[in-house]
Amino acid sequence: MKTRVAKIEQLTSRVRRFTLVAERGSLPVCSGGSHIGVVLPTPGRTIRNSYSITSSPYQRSFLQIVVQRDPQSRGGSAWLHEVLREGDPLEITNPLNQFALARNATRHLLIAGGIGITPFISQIESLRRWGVPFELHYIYRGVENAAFLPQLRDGLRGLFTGYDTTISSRPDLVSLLSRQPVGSHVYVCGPASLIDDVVASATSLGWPKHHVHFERFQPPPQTTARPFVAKLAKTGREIHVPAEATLLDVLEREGIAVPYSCRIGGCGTCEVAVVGGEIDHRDHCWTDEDRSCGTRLLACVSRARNGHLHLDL
Amino acid sequence: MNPPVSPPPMADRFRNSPTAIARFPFPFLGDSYEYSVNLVKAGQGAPGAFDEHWFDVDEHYVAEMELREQVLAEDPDRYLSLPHTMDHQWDVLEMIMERYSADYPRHFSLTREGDRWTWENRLLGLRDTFTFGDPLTLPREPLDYITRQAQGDWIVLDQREGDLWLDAGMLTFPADWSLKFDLGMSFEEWHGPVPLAHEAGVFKRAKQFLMRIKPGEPWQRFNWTMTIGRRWDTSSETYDQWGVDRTAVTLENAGEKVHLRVEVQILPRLPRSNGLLFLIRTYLISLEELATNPAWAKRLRRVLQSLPPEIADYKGLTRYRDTVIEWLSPYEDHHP
Repeated sequence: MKTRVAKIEQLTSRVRRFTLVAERGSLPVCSGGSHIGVVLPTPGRTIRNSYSITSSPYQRSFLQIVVQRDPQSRGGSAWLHEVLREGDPLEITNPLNQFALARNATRHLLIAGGIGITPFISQIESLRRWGVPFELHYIYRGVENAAFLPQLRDGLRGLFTGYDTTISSRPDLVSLLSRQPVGSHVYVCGPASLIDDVVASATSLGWPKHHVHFERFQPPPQTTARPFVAKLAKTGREIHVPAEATLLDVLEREGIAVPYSCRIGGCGTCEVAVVGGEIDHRDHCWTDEDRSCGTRLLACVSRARNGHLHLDL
Repeated sequence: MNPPVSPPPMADRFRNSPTAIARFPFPFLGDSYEYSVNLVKAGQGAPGAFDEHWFDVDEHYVAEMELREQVLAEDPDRYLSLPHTMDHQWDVLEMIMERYSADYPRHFSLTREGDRWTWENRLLGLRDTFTFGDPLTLPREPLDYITRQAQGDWIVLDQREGDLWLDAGMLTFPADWSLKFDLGMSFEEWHGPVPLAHEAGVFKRAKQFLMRIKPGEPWQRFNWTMTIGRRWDTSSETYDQWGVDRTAVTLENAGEKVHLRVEVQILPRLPRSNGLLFLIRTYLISLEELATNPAWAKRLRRVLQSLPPEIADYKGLTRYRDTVIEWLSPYEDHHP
């Protein structure tokens, strides 16, 4: 849908908040932790990035997203920071929530690293409205880089703990998780290392799998990506996927449309059926059982294990 | 006591006009039965069609709502909700009021001044002012209140722990299932009785799809079975009253008694609660009414002929399937 940028605010030197209003009609309603896709007409090609909604789910007059300028950006965050101006149109997709609060939790433990604070801003609105117990732990590198810090400190007295890694250490996750009562759910968003630590600590303490929620902003590191050849069953074409590109990238470049959303192996939209070849699954949304069938993969992250794949495309 | 055999009560009020027959959601796209998820985007139909809007209101609206009140008066447990569904319930109320007032402005209107809402339902002669979000300002729970004014059965699914949970609903017109039995179950649990599909992986794939439905983009699918008599309430709880009707189908009475029962299922995301709404909008058409469109009669016959025995059993058609196929035979090509 079409929106207009009503306001752009600089929250830190690298972080901007964009307030979007509907061009006509009404904006979609969403739940705490949702993200939207933003269509970015960057030079060369149009890309779509996902950003958490930071405005309250309980009002409908505007939507807000917060974007950190990423030095390794594919061009999206740079375009949002350098090209987009107040008053400009911006195309968005309907919201999706893959980081939803569990309504049956007895207590919610929220852990944010850096810009990973964003999905918690709207979740906090829901938690306060429901009147359920929660606490937020926010890890950042320098107060000047910590978006939302003043409002969280003042607004969440007693529920908020900050950790500035330039002067102190990260929280002791095992002790933090150990203190939570039975029935608690933990939510973590931030760098991959933080997510991995929280998931490993919770697992080692015997937390139920469904009580541990995480949202990644980046695909898992692809240290061993190797090139491979994908043969397309319907046309017999062969396409070459170099080490530095994903299967989805190459399919798009070749004009083969595959639906996609997150592009980091988190949502399951870009599922492609596989008729031959061994799959190197790299997603983080399927279960081991889903992956073991060997007949489908997520094109945005997964690859061939032995140099070739035969796809039902 | 002998169970009452058809005609069931109120049969006449649900007779289909030529307009209702013309817009009947005939579900078969081919001449053979194939189990599939068959999802399409909802609300994409032509003006006047059953799928023009997300939530269809048709000529049976008042009769259906009055029948719902009767069923609830006899068995209040046809409406049930678990305590954590209050956000979902307000989502449903808001969605139905917004859609009905926008799509059928002659019959429904919604006026909002902040959280102070006034809802007018001219078909049922209701006008209520309440505070959105405050259940004490409504005569009943939000879901109970609004689904007594909305055609179809309305099931609320909570999405958590990688699954969909059947946690609230208004179910007065089920095709042989029970809300009381299924309440609190997970997706694969409440689909437990369906044959063949579990092995085919249908539910697993369907569930993954459903969990990714976005706000504002509902999906639609068909389901169908057959019902004897124009009987809306074929719940498991009242099986003793209607099950026996299946033994009374003859070639002489099939045209009037046997009904194709089609469910147009609409699945919108509930935006604030992140739950999923499952509307089962039921349509009943007798063979006589259906055969006014000979192409439908021919196709229904072919589908029934190709139905696997497990599916025929599951749908409860086994006892009278051959009779219906015979009743429909004049519509087959090259019929002598």
